[in-house]
Amino acid sequence: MPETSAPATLSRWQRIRQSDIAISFLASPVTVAAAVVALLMIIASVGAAFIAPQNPYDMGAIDIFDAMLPPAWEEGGDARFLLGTDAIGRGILSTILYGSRMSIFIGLVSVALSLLIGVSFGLIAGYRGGLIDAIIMRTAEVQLALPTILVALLINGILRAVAPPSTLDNVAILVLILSIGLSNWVQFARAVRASTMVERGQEYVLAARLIGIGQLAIMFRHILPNVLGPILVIATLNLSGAILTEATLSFLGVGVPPTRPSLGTLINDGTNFLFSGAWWITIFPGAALALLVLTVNLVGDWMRDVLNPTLE
Amino acid sequence: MIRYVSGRLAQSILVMFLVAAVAFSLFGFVGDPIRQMITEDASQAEIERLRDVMGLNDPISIQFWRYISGAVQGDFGVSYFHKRPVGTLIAERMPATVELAGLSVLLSVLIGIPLGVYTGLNRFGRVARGLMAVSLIGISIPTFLIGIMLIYLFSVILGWLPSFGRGDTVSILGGSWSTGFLTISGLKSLILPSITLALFQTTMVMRLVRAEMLDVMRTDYIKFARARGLGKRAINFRHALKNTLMPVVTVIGLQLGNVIAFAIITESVFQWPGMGRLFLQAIQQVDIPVMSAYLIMIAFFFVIINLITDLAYYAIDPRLRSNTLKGTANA
Repeated sequence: MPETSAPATLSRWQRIRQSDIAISFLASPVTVAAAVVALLMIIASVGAAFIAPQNPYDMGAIDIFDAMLPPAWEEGGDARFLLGTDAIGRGILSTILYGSRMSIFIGLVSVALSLLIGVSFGLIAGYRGGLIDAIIMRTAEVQLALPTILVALLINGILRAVAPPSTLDNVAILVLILSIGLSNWVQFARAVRASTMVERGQEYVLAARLIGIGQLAIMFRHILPNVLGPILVIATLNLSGAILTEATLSFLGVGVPPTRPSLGTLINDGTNFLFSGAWWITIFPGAALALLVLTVNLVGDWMRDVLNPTLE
Repeated sequence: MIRYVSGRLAQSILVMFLVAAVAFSLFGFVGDPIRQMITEDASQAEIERLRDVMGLNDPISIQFWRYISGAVQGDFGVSYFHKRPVGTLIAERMPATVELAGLSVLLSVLIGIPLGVYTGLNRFGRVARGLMAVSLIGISIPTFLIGIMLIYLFSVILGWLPSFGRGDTVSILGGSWSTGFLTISGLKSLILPSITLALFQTTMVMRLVRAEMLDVMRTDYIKFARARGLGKRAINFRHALKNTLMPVVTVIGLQLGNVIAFAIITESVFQWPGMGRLFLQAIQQVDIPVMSAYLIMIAFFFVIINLITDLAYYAIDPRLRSNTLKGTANA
């Protein structure tokens, strides 16, 4: 029967093109543009080692005589350094590529950490209920009342107090990831808890309990796949927040060590030269950061509108 | 009434107690404070005597009690880094932060509410949509970057405004408060930091008022007011705006926490001698007494704001009181 088999002859690409999500995606040119820019920035930063015109952390490749060059199109600019150079002769374009690699890496890892903590706590709170639920959700409420950056600063301060000073540089990135990750788990936990409480009463959970499957297995093997819906949206929205928090902490000097800078560190370094008129050292990394956060935000907003309109 | 208030008070005290416990436990992480205070050639007997004098040989519970009773009286110990009492340090820095934060909250209300009303009423207008787009960009640009760009434009290029510090200050209230509002340089120094700090709040207030206005304009009583033939001005401001303000006031109250957090960043950008910078230095230097004191003060601030908000709800929303009025519960 050729009529009934006709839809099946659509190639995979065509089927993707005709799905609701793709249609709504293509109907929003701002989202398409944002997604393209965000993707390009992520690809460029992941491939920084291959794309960057120079390796800014290879002392042999940088030359102090190239220091403080303005962007290539300004008077005195050098064609080798499209966006100019900083105080020790590193090309701004290269430092931005390497810096956004650090920013995106820390952003992704800390969102993954928040997701892990939030989903686990949400599952346990929603499935077990009672005292555990009360403790987890009260903690979440208190934390939600405090601004993320303040929580991250406090956790950062506590971790710095705990870590022996001599190892501080080595663990700085870990401290940063922990402080951002621990300050962002609440949204995940709340969403997962709400849908877990619904799933808990479903028949498949009852069936699993009847055949003697353990609580942990029920939570993580049976309920988890059914409550993951809103997670992707929350993760995307949190990614821009995590990148911003990282940049802010690094700007404040409690972030990544200066030897492995992120965008926030680059901006902070550049402010020292603002008064001598070398605006490019600060403004270009700043623009890269703002563009990255804005585009990820736009994609996240669109995902929320299409996939989970009920999320706040 | 009394039961409700005392219940909320008990909760607040419990939260403060827990925060104080966390703040106190920070001291346990840095090792022996004696080692930082003595010279190399101090004898064991001298160390022991110092430990006794400082009460470090007492049980933890007594030390904790001493810390709490000190904190209640504003005594948070001596800063490891500044070598001065933390209470004095905070008292010195408080006016700078309060003036900066207060001015920016004022700015965000004075600018955000009219913009929100305008964009809410002219939803599809070109200017309103432009403002919304700008506000989205404003949310995506981090506070510190906005501060840096303002400094570059107004201090470096134009040279109109100072880029750091508070300018000249005047001591008032018997020397306990230093204000920047009474001198020209103090006022000029306030402009850039307060705009930086206000910008995020302004976009928040604007978006919130807009959303509330859109909701309210759809309600029946607005339609009825139109049907009665009331003028646009009366409908927009007497009927619509008034009803949007309740949630706005609540959010502004809760946003004070954000102002404090962003004040840390703003103070760092503009080298503003306030509490935020004190706290940031404490984190960088692992200065535990200052960190603990700041933690307790922030928690105290949040608890007070939450308490006031809850009590205000109780005063405003009669439904919260209904369970005490037996017989009229089903209103």
